[in-house]
Amino acid sequence: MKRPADPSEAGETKPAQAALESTSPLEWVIAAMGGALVAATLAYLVICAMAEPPRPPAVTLSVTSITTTPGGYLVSFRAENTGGQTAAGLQITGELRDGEVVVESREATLDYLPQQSERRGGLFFAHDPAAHEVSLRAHGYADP
Amino acid sequence: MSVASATKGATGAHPAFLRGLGRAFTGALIFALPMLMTMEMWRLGFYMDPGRLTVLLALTVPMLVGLSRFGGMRPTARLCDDVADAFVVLLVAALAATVVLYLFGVLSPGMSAREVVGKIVLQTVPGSFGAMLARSQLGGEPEARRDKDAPTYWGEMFLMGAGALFLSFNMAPTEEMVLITYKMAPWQSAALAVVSLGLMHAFVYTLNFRGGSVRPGHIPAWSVFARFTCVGYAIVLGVSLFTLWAFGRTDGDSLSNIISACIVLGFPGAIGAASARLLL
Repeated sequence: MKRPADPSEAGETKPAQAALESTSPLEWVIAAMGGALVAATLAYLVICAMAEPPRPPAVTLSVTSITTTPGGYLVSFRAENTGGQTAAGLQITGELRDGEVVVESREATLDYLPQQSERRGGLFFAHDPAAHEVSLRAHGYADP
Repeated sequence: MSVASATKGATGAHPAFLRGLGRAFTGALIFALPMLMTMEMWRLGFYMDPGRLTVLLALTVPMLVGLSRFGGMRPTARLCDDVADAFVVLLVAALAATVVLYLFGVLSPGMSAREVVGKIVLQTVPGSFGAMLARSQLGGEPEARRDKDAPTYWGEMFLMGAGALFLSFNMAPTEEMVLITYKMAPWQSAALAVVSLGLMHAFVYTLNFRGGSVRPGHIPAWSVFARFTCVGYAIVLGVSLFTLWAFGRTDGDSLSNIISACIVLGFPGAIGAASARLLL
């Protein structure tokens, strides 16, 4: 933009005054939409900043489906964080139990489980989960 | 853009504006793609402090108005036109970020509003810069008379700050920033600061005097160094500190670590600041 004007443009019949076009109604409409979006976003973020007490992550785990795979069985799970902070490196253990006896244990790690959000994963078992009690537990996390 | 074909030719002003919108969209994509494809940026979207995100977005608006003065989508006569342009590019950038993040599967059902908003806002900032610069970067309309006026000294400083912010935005969120800081010995940090200053001076000297406001014959080199390079580098370090703070990179870090992180981030920042006249 700091380049000197291209000589080829010198022949432009449009006077310089016309190049300094003013804002058209259409542009004002779009600008108003943009302004409203920015204002709404700022308001939302301010509310988040004010209303968000540093509640620790609260993780709920639930089994969504059990399917057979060539090597065994897949237990798909859903992890939901109802707390106010993100859990990073969340370790999840799934166990197949017969009462007090742990038949099989598998682990998975979720890189991030943001606040008020859910993530999904799966655990592979050799034994049929349908024949046992499935228990899922979250072990620990790091602050991001 | 389907709107473009629908309204095209309705009046004389609309096709030019719609072409500008298309260019802004392209500009937003070109400048924001590296960040749209960086996973740290997605993560920052949800774990970044909402207060700092608010500050970042709020500061983006006057920054865009300033950029619009010095370049932007179209030649503007009045300040309110610049403000209009700023909001238009913010909308375009937000739209571009939403579409791309959705296509990448980074936005999906089951995510909280806070996470979705955070991810989009964070990408909207660099995207809106790109959208605003689209005109000068991608060419287009004949340049207006106002463009030939060189910016004032404060205008130059503003452009330097904008250039630094833009380049630091690319690097600040990455893990490598922290890793580089840990790898560097104090003498290496000091050397990097000197190299940054030297490069910046070389850039300022060669770029500023190419059709700029300053004429090399009239001003001694030490004066250029003091007024442009040193002040510019101070702005760069300030911008680096702000970016690191916004992204939570300064939290719980020692003062010496923060200083060396500023110098590391100031290296691309200095190049961005000094070449702002080329970039912006």
